[in-house]
This record gives sequence, C-alpha cells and structure tokens, in this order.
Amino acid sequence: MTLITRQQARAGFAFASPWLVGFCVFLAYPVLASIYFSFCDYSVLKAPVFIGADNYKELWGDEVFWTAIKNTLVYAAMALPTGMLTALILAMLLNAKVKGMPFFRTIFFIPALVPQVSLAVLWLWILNGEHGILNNLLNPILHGVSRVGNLGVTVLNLVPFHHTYDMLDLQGPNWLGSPAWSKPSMVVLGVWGVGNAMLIYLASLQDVPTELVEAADLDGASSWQKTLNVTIPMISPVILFNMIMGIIGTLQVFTVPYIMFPNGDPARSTYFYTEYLYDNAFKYHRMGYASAMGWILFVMILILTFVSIRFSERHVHYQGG
Amino acid sequence: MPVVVLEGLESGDFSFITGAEAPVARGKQAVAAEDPQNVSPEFYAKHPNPFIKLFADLPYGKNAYAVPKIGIWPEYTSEIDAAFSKIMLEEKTPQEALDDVAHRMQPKLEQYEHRLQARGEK
Repeated sequence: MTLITRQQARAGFAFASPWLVGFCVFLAYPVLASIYFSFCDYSVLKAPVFIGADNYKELWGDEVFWTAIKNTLVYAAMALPTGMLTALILAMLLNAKVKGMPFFRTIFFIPALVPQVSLAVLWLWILNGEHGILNNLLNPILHGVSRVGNLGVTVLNLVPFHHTYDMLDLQGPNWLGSPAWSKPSMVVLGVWGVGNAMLIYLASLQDVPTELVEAADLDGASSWQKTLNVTIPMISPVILFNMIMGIIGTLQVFTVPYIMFPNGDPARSTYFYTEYLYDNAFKYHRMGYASAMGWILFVMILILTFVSIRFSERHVHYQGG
Repeated sequence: MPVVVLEGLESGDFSFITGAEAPVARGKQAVAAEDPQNVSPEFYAKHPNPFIKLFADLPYGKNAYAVPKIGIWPEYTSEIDAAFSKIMLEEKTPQEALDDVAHRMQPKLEQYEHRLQARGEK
C-alpha cells in the first residue's frame, strides 16, 4: 500500500467514523451482548451471572410467553392479509387515470405519517364502545337491521308479536373492552398505516410494461384477467417484499397496543410478544430473560421469512431473471 | 406511613407469597417505627390534609398488608391485574382467577429463589 493510498484510506475511515462508532456502540455491541445476556441472570443493576440455558428453559414453561406468542400470531394472521389487500386495492385505484389524482394520493398517504402515539389516542376515541364515533355510526344501521329482522320474524309468525320488540337488538361491539373484539379493532386501526405499502405498490404498478397490457387488450382480456395475469405477476416481487416487511412489522407490533391496551387488557387478549419482552426488560428488570425472548423472536422472523421466500419461488416473477 | 396498602385481599389466597413472613414483618416494623397513631390530636387538627386520619387508620385495617419486599412483585401485580380483568369480564370466578395467579406465580417464585441462590444472595 502506497503512502497516498494509506492516507486516503485513513481519511476515508475518518469520514466514515461517525457511522462506524454509532454502528459499533448502538448496534453491534448490544446485539452481541444480548446473546451473552440471554444466558445470564441480569437485572441491569447488578453484574450478569451466567446461568446457562435457564432463561430458555423457563420460557418454555412460561404460560404468559405462550399467550403472547398466540396473540401475536393471531393478530399477524388477521392484520397481514388485511393490510396487504387494502394497500394493493388502494394502489390500483390510485393508479387510475382520473383528474385530481395527486390530491387523492396525498389524502390516502397522510394517515401513514401520523405518529403512532397520536394514532393510538385518536383511535381510543373512535373505538370507544359507548361514546366512540364508530359505534355512533354503526348503531343506527344495526338498529335498522334489528327492526327489519324483528319484522321478518313477526311476519313469519315465529313468535307472538308482543315478544318481538326486544328480541333482536344489535349494537356496535365493545371494541376496546371485549377480548373477542380487541384484536379486530387493532386490525381496523392497522389499515390506517398502509400508506407506505400502498406507495410501494403504486410505484411498481407504474412500472408494469404497457406493451404487455396492450397485448392482453388485443387478445381480448377483461380488466380482471389483465389484473390477474399481467399486473399481479409483474408486481409479484413487490408483493413478496411487502409481505416480508408485513410479517416483521406485525410480529413486532408494540406502540399502539401498549398505549391502547395497558397490561394487554382485556384479559391479556392484546398482550403481544414485544410487550411481554418490554415488561421483562424494563418493568421486571429481567434483561437476560428479555434478551432470550428477543433472540427467539429473531429466529421466528428468520424462519418465517425463509419459508415465505422458499414458497414464493414459483409465484414470484423477476423481470431480469 | 407505609408505602403501599392493599385492601380486600384474603390472607389465605396469597400465603405462598407472604408465606415468607420476613418481608411482611419488615414492612410492619417500618409502619410501627413511624406510627401515625401515636401522634397528638393536634397533629390531626392542624394537618393540611383533611383526610389524614383516614390515611393514618388505613394500615390498621383488617385487610391491610405491607407489600412484600420481593423481586418478582411487579410480575405478581401484573398477574393480579390480569386476574382482575378476567373476573370483571366474568370469564372466571375470583377463586379460579386467583388459583391461576398462584399456579403461574409459584414456579416464578421458585425460579426467583433459585436465582438468588445462584447469585449467593440467599
């Protein structure tokens, strides 16, 4: 190495040093240290004590750990397809050649910019079972449905008339207070955050070669056939990318449920994996246990990503490949 | 004054935690050391808080307990919160919910003691 090359290398490292230091101190060291801490009893306040695989063994028998995994997987199974489908449909609508499209694109993207905490507080008001806007909109509709249902039952003479009034009285669900509705309410709320995925879909839709669409037109393909046989295959790498990002995002869901459902209420139905991890690390001061949970989550995400990529090999079409 | 007072808990339900009497005893000793009932009537009369007598009497209620000095207490309160939620939703009876708490916390208590031994703190 010549003197000039050495000087250039030194200058290069000097310029890159802010990032290098940040990477080592705030990422590489914590990641490596957490591997060691996952095998330790470590409360942060005292020096870590090596305990072998005890944390992992304890996690295996920890009921709350399994509850948190179940909640997270159920939520991911609901939120992932809903979010992906909503984002794709919105992107297709926003790809249409309609006057004033930049305005609509902005309107649909803005919710994704709302900070998570504000979003959670806003939806606490919207989803309030008694005074929330959503139930105030739903209740008149459900009341109408109830009346039609009651009328139908009366006309069919299934029950005496004087019993029918109270027979069917549908009301909006207790979104935040019922274990059956708490996760669906999170899914509804999650649709607000599809703006980023929608934007990526939109970019990929604009990249679909027009000659393919025109060829399909000449062959007499309907809109649905063009979507299914041209558009979807051409944007399939982006669908895979959004799916993997969605898997990672839904398995790491934290801020919104932590604010909306303290302690995983109601009845731990919204106690997600990262919440239990956070509680162990910063509430119970069990950093070793939390580190073990972190590594288990990492392995789970790794496996799911690997499986997604393997299963998508036949269905994803890369233009260059 | 005691740091925290818990009410409405039957002593038998939580014996596995309070069974280690030492932390509870220490809590009660702390209360006795600053016994608010040994003050003069003027203390209550002149105190800026009009409800001070109520607070002074609370630790002597029949359901009052000092919080045990135990490292897994935050986990324990979290379990109690979850049990309370299930009772409120009528998913479980108080007996079933508290049995669940005992069932979940017993291994954690044993694990906690095991780790104290590993650290040489017990």
